Amino acid sequence: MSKYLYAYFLSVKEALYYPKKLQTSAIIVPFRILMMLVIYTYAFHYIGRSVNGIDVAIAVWSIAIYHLLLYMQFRGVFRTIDEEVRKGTFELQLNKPYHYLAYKFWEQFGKGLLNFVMSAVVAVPILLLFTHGFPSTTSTPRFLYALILAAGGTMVSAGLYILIALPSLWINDARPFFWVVDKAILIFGGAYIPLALLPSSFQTFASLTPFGAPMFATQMFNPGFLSSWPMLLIVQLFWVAVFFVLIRIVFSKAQKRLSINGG
Amino acid sequence: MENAVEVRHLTKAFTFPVKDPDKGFLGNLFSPQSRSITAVDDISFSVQEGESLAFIGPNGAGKSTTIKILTGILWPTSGNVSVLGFDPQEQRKELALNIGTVFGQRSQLIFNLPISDSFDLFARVYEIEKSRYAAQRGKLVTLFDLGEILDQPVRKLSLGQRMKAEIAVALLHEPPIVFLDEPTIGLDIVAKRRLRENLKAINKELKTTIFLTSHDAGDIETLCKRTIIINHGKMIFDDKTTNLKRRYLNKKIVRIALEEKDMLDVKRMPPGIEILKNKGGGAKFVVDTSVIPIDEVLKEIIHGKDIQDITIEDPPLEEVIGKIYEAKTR
Repeated sequence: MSKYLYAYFLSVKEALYYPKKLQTSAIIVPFRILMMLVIYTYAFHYIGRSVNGIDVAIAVWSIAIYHLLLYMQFRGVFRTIDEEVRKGTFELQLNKPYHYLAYKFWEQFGKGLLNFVMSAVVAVPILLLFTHGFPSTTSTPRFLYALILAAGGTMVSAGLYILIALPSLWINDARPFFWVVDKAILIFGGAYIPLALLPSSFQTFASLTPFGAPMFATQMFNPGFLSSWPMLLIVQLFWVAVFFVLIRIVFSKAQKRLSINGG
Repeated sequence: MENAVEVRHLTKAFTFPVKDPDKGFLGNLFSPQSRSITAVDDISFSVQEGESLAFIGPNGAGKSTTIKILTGILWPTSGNVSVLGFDPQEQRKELALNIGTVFGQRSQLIFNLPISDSFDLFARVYEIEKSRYAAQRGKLVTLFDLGEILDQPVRKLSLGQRMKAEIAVALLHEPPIVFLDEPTIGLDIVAKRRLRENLKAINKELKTTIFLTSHDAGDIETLCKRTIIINHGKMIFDDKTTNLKRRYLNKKIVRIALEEKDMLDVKRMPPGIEILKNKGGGAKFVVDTSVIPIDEVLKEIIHGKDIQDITIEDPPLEEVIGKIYEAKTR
């Protein structure tokens, strides 16, 4: 097993070592889903029709996918890097025979996976119960394509959050960048309002920027998804390539101008 | 014998922003001022393979900055550095596979998991073969007496236990050189003594080069045959530790607590002792060990007294440095 895969394995082991933390996080998503279910049931009942092909079930499933995928996103990697830079443990890892960022990537991947699985185990039955099964547009190809977009979205979010964490090496606190990016993903990823319900200019912006790209998989139940998914994947691949190049440049510069005065 | 470390005219300057109170918020935001400090100032030295070197100095002297440059963490402003023939900055990964590092104030163990997991992780990180790993781990667990705490999460260990584990994992890949930055900081006397014995053993038995920074003169005396003292980024002393001891560490400060109202008999004081305080219940005095060994002092003046407590300290490093400067200007 390679050193990076072992970092992933240890993260999973660490999560299993403290099951109560895992159990607590597993009830958060179902709680959010239940709240959205109540709000959207009332809203659609009030409107009395579907909007842009979206009905209650599609809206709630889309939001549920967002919150489940959030665990597979790399928000945590920002916190880890930012904190390690501020505490000074970042520098310790620079004299280890691995690439610091690759190591953090796999570590974070391990941290997110168990939370995702645990939350999904609790959330999916609740959704099936309250929305009377899967949405009407469900099909096997949609699941497969959404799976590909979820993987792509994970990579985009990894690139984005790692990139905004690196300025902490210059300015010591990159949390303002995190706040802006995190909220942009929240809006353009469809955390509380599915993208299909937003104005078309918002939808275009979300489809082209890295703020919507991490959550493209949430569109899997939308009526036009089968024709739009290849384009969404191309956008994700574009951003992954851009972030990969930018991170390499920024990290190499950051290492050279690292200034930890240790006495 | 070849050199494990070669440092030539090494300089490291740090630049940091400073606020100008006259400029106001916007002035400081758009035209910030910066100041530069030279943490390491044109130092040169070499360390032979198998040597044990103490690299010491007061806070802010530049010792940790030097160690961080030698281990590839920081880039020097100018000068040349070579560790085991590698350029630490350009060949960081290759060098990392061949060195061990311990930074006393920062842990490299997995905080929430047992020590055994940190061992397993380091085995993979340092690409150690399974059979070699098993043998080396067994050896280190015995040497550092980690058997009983191997399955305890790191966060539940005492500082002394953690430090032993930190050093043990740093030695797992059998590095020819180990950099120890304040490894005994915060440890009690017993833990310090045990750790020093362990380090001495690895230097002697495994021929591991030891590069140690410490504030504690005890570490230096016990472990290192050679000492470099650095102050304000400049090297001010580079010689055998025995010479440092003979010239500058020959004074010991002794504090004793006696029974209430009891005092030392000043008339019976042998030569080489300077009384600093002698009141009922306690005394403080300086012993010149070049005149009288410390054990003789204890036999001589404490004889027949009911001792409640006793501490023996080295003079502060700042005092030693002051003496070195004094000797240089003489």
